[in-house]
Amino acid sequence: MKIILIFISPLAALIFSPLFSGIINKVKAFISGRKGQPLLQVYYNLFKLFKKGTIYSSTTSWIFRISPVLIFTFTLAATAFIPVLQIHTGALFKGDFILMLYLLGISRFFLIISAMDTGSAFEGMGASREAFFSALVEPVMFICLINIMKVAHTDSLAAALLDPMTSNSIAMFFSAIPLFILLLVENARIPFDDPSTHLELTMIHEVMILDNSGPSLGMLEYAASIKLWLFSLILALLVIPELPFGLLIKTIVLGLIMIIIAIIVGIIESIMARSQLFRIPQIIFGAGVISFLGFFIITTDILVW
Amino acid sequence: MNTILFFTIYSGVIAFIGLVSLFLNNKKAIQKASPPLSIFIISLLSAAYIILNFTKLKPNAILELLNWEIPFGKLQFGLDSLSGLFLIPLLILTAATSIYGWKYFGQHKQEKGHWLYFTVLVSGMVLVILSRNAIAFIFSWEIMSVSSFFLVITDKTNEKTNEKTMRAGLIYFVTAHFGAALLFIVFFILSNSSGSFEFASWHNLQLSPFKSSLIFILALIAFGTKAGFMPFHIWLPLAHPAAPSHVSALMSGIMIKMGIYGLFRILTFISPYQAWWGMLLIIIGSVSGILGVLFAIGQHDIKKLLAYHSVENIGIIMLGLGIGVSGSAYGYPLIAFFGFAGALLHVINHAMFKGLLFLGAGAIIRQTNTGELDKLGGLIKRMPVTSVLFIVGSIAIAGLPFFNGFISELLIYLSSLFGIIDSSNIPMAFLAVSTGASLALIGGLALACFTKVIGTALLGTEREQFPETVSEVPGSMLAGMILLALVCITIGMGSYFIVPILTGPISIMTGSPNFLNVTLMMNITKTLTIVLFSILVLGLIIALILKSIIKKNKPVKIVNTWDCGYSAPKASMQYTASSFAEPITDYFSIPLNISKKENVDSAFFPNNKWHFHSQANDWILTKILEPFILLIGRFFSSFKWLQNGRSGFYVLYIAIAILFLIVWKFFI
Repeated sequence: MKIILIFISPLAALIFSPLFSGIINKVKAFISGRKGQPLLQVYYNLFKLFKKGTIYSSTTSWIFRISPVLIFTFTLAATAFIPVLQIHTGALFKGDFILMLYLLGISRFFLIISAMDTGSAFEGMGASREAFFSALVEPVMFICLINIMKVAHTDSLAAALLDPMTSNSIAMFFSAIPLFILLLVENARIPFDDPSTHLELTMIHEVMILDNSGPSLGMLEYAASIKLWLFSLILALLVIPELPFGLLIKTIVLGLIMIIIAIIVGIIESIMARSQLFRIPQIIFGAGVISFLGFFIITTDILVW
Repeated sequence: MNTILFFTIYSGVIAFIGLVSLFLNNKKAIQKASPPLSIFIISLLSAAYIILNFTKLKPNAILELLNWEIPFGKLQFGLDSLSGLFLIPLLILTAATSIYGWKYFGQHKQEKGHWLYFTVLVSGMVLVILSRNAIAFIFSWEIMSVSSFFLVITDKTNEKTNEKTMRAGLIYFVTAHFGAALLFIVFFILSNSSGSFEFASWHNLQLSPFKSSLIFILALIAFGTKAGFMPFHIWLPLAHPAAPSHVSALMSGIMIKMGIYGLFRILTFISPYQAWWGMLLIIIGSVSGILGVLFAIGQHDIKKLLAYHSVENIGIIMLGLGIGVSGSAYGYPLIAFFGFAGALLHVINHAMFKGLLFLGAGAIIRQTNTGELDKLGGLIKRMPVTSVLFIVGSIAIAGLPFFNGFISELLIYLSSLFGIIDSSNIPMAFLAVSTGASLALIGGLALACFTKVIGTALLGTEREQFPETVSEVPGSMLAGMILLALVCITIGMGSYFIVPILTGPISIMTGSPNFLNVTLMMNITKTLTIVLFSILVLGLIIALILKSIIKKNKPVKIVNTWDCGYSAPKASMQYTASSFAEPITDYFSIPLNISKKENVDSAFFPNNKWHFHSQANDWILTKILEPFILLIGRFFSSFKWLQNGRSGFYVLYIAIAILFLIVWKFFI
């Protein structure tokens, strides 16, 4: 029985992650006064891409062909560590979040080298930036997740997220704020990157997949939306209050919180401009300071609200 | 057969092969092949022998060889599981590098004494691991240092590099002997406290905290010069690029680990540990790790880059060791267990993937005659097997899953996790979080560094058209790399079957083995192994689905790279290694001490060629160590007037000394 539960999170990510991106797009359209694309447009796009033919660059090697599959697989596998249904299934294992982060790491590895494989100046530029910013994100992410686990007093992230944290609001604040910043950085959202343009020199993620087409591109876009879904899910589980209800209502509330996160991301994308590139490390560093402050407070117990 | 005797004989046989190689003629194929092939076969069989007998190793068995009444005792050898753990990567790496070295000198001239120095280095290292007595240890330590010095200066292919190579060799020689001098002091203090030069008598000495701390600090510096953590890493980036590649692989993979071995061995003598030792080790580990990888990112020469990665990986080992020592000191056996486990496994892992990467780099340099990243490119098409193996090594060194680097880093992460979550001790929690966060940053930067190497050297298009002769290396060279890559995958995927070998050495470090901790480690690796295999199966299914979709759709078209409408992209338009690294080197330009030289024509339509050159300068040698050494030199040169060369004065000095001794003896 427990084995089946492991497949629920990836399945939910497969089904709902494009919807999540759709909501963000709808919010952006609404704020800018447009009617916008249909809510399900991301699904239509994926279907369209999977039906198209493929074009490969003559420069590329097998790395470029195999990478979309690997990136998609590893990202999807990473979602298995975060529970969608809020039931204690017993932690997968101690230190599960390390494997989750490193699965995202290896998918990033292949994303970067597949971009370098094309021999294009643009894609190299995006790859270089992605490598730099994600390296800075790693330690901040580590401290953020550690904070959550420290409060719940467990060695497994999945178990910690099932343990509502609202009782310790200060700790929640110091984990949620940096985690939200990391969500925007890691998923290439405004103010760090612009997901809706393709040919700006300031781009990070979109520019790396310029040469992908057809099903390969579909895999990469799908993987990107799954990753966004994964980060939002961690954040939603972090802020969900303790509810005296059954599993169904809990899951519905979780869904509502996810929608709220999507709306907040949409609002931020509408009202903010993309910040200058050299500011990004500073903002990541700021998130690191907040999360370390959170660690300090949690560990030393100097503030109990 | 007695395992100790077996490996003592092994070291003798290996050295003998080296001696025989002096009398062979390199121009005849069979005579050229016989030394490397025999080393390969013997080492591989010995590796299999020790792996099969690993659980039977006895901690206290001593072999007294040559029962000489030499001063300070006998030559004693022993083989416990801590020694055995270092012996396994040594043997595997020796096998891989020897078969690789067979045809490595295809175009270059091979020095006559090459295999002699090589084998003496190997047997010196085996003896260091086996030694159970200070005299035997220092003796083997010197054999190791001197033979590796000769190996560093072997590569005299052209006059231009000759001077550089000699300088590298000399700096290595001086640092090695600085370390050896401190080693004498360490052993002197220990033997003074116990009254014997035998390691066996050094356990449970009940040293005072001051004395044990003194031993710890001296041993840290003495072995640190060999291990090459900051700031004693200065010889690494000079010596590794200078040596032939398979020698670099051996030196970087396992010889620097002898420093780690020494540190582990000394730590068994001076327990209980002080809490601040752990802190010091963690600080050294994080500084070496982070600065090591940053300097690596700043390098454009592939072997120099790999040399800095050795500094980084020694940093990771020090982080594991540090958190293990802190866990011991604060009384948390669980943290100590996982910390030591991670450090020990990383010793094996680093030997495997760093060996693999140096061999891969050597293959590239051998074929293209350059190690400059910005002159390479597109090699995956000309050297497909080498490229795959190099990518395997890169994923492993970045600590990513499915390969071995991930397993040891995971163990250190777990140790840090237990330190944060399960301990109520606040200093422990802070040490643990800095360990984990440093490891995360190191991992992220290592990923950036190796995507840079792969992206510029192996992928894309050739920056300078290679001659037709640039193709795959001979099969024997590939065999060496394949052997190491297989070990990397085996440890990475089958960690459940590998980690049991760690329990023996850990129990030597921490005393009694705790079965709960062992079970916990086994449980985690078991789940991990299952999860990793299932992910691979999932990946395979998705790959098959995608392949069938692509096949079913319209035919696949092959066109130029899309360069935003520009239809004639050139090789020189690709992102270079320096531009890939620029955001990072720019952000960390202060610790990296970046110097830039540019020659820019700022006219609207520039006519002249632009030149740009950037370089990360290692300031630790030039700005800190050299001025310090010069200061000492200046101090002592103020006594030069004593040495005036006139014999009358020297007689006077003797007279004064005798007079002083008489006064001291009879009047004070």
